[in-house]
Amino acid sequence: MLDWKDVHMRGLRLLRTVQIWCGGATAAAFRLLALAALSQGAISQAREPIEPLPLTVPVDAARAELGEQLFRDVRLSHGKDRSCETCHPLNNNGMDGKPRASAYNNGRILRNTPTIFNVGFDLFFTWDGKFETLSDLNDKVLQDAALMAITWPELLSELNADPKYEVRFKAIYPGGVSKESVLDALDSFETSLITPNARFDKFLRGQLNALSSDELDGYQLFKSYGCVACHQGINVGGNLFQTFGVFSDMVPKPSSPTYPDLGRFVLTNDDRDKGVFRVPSLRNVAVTSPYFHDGRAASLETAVDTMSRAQLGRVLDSKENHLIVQFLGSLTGEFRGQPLQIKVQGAR
Amino acid sequence: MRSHWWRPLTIVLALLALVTAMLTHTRNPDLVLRERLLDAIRNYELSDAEMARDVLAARAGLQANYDPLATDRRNLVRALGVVEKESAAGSWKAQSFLAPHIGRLKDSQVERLMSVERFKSRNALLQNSLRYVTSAGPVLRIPRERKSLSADISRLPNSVLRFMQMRDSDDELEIQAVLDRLAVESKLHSELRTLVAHGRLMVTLIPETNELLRRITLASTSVAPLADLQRAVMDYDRGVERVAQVYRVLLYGVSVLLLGYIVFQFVRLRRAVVDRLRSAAALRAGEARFRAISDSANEAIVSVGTEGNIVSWNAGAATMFGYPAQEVLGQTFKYLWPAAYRDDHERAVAEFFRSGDAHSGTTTPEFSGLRKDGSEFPLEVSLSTWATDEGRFLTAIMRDVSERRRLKEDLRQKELQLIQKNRMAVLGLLVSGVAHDISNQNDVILKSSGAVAKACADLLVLVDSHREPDLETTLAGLPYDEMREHLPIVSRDIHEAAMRILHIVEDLRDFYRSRPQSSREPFEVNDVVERTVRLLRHKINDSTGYFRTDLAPNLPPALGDAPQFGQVVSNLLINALEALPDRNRGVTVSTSCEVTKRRVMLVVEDQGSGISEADLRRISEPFFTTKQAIGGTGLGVAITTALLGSMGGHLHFESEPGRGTRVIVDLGCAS
Repeated sequence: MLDWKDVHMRGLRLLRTVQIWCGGATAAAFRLLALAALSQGAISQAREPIEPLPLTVPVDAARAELGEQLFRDVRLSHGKDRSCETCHPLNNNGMDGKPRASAYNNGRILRNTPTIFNVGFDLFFTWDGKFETLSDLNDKVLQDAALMAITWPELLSELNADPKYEVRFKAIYPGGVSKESVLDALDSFETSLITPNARFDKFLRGQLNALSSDELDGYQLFKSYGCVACHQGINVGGNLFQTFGVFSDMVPKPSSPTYPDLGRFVLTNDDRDKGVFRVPSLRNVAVTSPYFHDGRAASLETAVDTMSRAQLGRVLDSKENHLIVQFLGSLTGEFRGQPLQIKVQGAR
Repeated sequence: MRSHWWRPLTIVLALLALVTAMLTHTRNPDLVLRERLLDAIRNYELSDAEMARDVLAARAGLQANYDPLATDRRNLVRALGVVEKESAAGSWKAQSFLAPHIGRLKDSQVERLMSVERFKSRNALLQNSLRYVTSAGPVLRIPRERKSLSADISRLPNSVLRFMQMRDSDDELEIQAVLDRLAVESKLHSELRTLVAHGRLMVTLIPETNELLRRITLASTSVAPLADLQRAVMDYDRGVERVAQVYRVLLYGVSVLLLGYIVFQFVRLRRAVVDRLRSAAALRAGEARFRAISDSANEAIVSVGTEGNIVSWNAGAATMFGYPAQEVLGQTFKYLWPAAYRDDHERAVAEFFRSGDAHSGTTTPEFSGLRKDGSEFPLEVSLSTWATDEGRFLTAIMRDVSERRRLKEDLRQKELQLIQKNRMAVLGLLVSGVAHDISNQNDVILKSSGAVAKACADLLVLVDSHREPDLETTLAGLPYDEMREHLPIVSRDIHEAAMRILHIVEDLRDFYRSRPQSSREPFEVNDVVERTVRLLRHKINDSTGYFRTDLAPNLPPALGDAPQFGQVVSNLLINALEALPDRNRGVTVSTSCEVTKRRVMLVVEDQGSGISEADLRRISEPFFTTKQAIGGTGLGVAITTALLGSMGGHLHFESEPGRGTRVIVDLGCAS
């Protein structure tokens, strides 16, 4: 039987060989020709740029349950006065609703808290994309002096002191309470936090009447105006970086305590990364205000306006803005069977 | 050999240990590592190529979104993780050898992923701008009279596309020129301003994006560190393999050595086993032979161990001592001796064990044995010792000599008889000669005594008539009257004495005379008995008042010599009569016939003094007599026995001392 992976790889090798041979300008054309031949069937051009969330994710229920307990436990912080849920309250769409997260001990000025829902579908975490796995992120968040401010020995001794934890950990992890098992439990729980069944997802799955005509028009604008160039994929963003303010001359200067936040430059120290941030997911965007890394936009309309100006170099009229906002509303999904909605403003 | 049994074992174990050590060294410890690492590297290469492919697809606008690239990124990171994990599974040496290469690969990946992310950002903008630029024409409502403007607008997408594909600087210049022209007009239309902004953005983005694309798809950036790592793995493997090869050769050598040694030991062992089997078979055969011999022997063959316990017991021993083998095997042997000898025997055996060399047989003087029933018997013992792996043993061959002793006694008796007979023969010759002379002289006495008696009688008559009655006449110092009374008696005594001498001499002559073969003719036993009784009537009447004959009528004639048989009857009758103490005891002579056995029987029975048992045994011996005092010669019964023997008859005595004797004679019938 023919091994398609093998055939595929041979094709790629051939391509690679050709690339090496033809380093010159003609290579590009040749490349595209070869690519077109190679991509037949492998890449669908007719696909929508956005894909629906799965209805379930493969997560071990026991681990997720233990993770949830940890998620809500204030003993994970040094002062025992905050838990993960402090900033990501699940009853408030997984975020605190504040422009900026409140730092522990007023440590340092933080960025806006993104929702924790669908976090498992992001490729990068935090606004500057410092982390690529939830474990790395959680490890950092727990030890960050401005966040949980705890050390691992402290945390583990706290957990070990609780016989209930000891029993539950032992039941799942042979090694009992450890850094790895704590992180794994948190990872499992956070990965399980999905909001499927957004009306747009239903539309993508073929339920064409799931969207109103306005929402559908909004989606068309979303695509044709180029929003979709960055906000694409399963999480409608979250999988690439972009300069905030491509057409910066069109963006009014915000009054922000940290302005300018240089974003990814802080991480890479590369001039090209100045002002570069992670493109955030637009899932549940309608219920997770305020917006942007510094929470500068309190309403979705403002955010859409800012985006169109800064990123698309385009000024939307109010109708277009409205249509796009309508469409973005259809991205709001259900958490544990309940549709998400705005509950409390500024909930802690 | 027994003491060094561990030596071959030690050598084999040492060689095995050596082989094992060699084996562990011949195995390339990182062979699995190599395979898995190369596999991981191939997998990494594949992931990398997939990412390059998706980047190209994204660049060509063929990707709907960046999720495939996100997957590629995760795969690539995971693939590197696998490579790291596989290399970490190798030996310390392999790890340290590969570490710098893996570090380089890691660095290149970080850089590469960064490039990909930058590419994604740029490409997103570029695609967006491209979309805007290509779709701007219809959107912009340009007045018809501004032909150059609309031409610029419609030319811009083509230039941009060409620039994107060919990266020609002429295109860039053309685009810049168009954009500059449009910028002048931008005040006219806000859309135009946007178009210009996008155009300018693209002009800066396109070279940047193409540069990123070149870096990403350029083979050297991704393949070089990978190829380095691959080469490093192979180099390392070759190095290890070379060492392993040396060990392999060594392993072969040691294995051959081990095999050779084992074969050598096997051959040796086989020879030993064959020898052992052969000797065992010989031993079995020997044992069977020994058992056959020992069981068929009349002698008791008994083996004992140094503690005196019996280990072997043959059938002869069982018969001799009365113990079956199962009763004595394992028991001590001292109960085979009478209590009185036990200590001596034990000491002797201990001494024998101490001094005796392996096979020195020793025959001891006679021992005494004790049977199960408690009876003692004389033994002759032959001892020998022998040694096996199990210790020293003593084998005794014992012979019951009681029978031999009796035979020896008999032989001695026979010798004595022979001597006696010799003496008799000499005496016979002597007696014959003497008897002849005596008989001649006796004849003179006899004849003379008769004449003298007659002469005396005549003389006495003559004297009587001529003698004076008062005249004191003496004859030979005796008064004549007394002499006259005595002289006939004296002369008769002389005659009788001479007659007795004659009888004795005749008896002697009869006994020692070279006996002619007795004739065997039929004769009437009753006639002979009657004649003899008649002849002896005088003596019978003198001896007893109760003589009786009881002769069976119609007796068949017996076979024999009538005169000799007469002598037999006469002898027996005289003996019977002489045995009577007084006349009140009687003698009976009877004849009978046993028809079935064809024998004629003569029984002489007296009520005399009888014969003691000891005398009865010697009664046929010549010169054995109990009647020395009354002139017995001791030849009567001997002569009778000899006579009867020559006639084919038998003589048998039954006697009860004090009650009488019964003599039974039987002769064969004539027909």
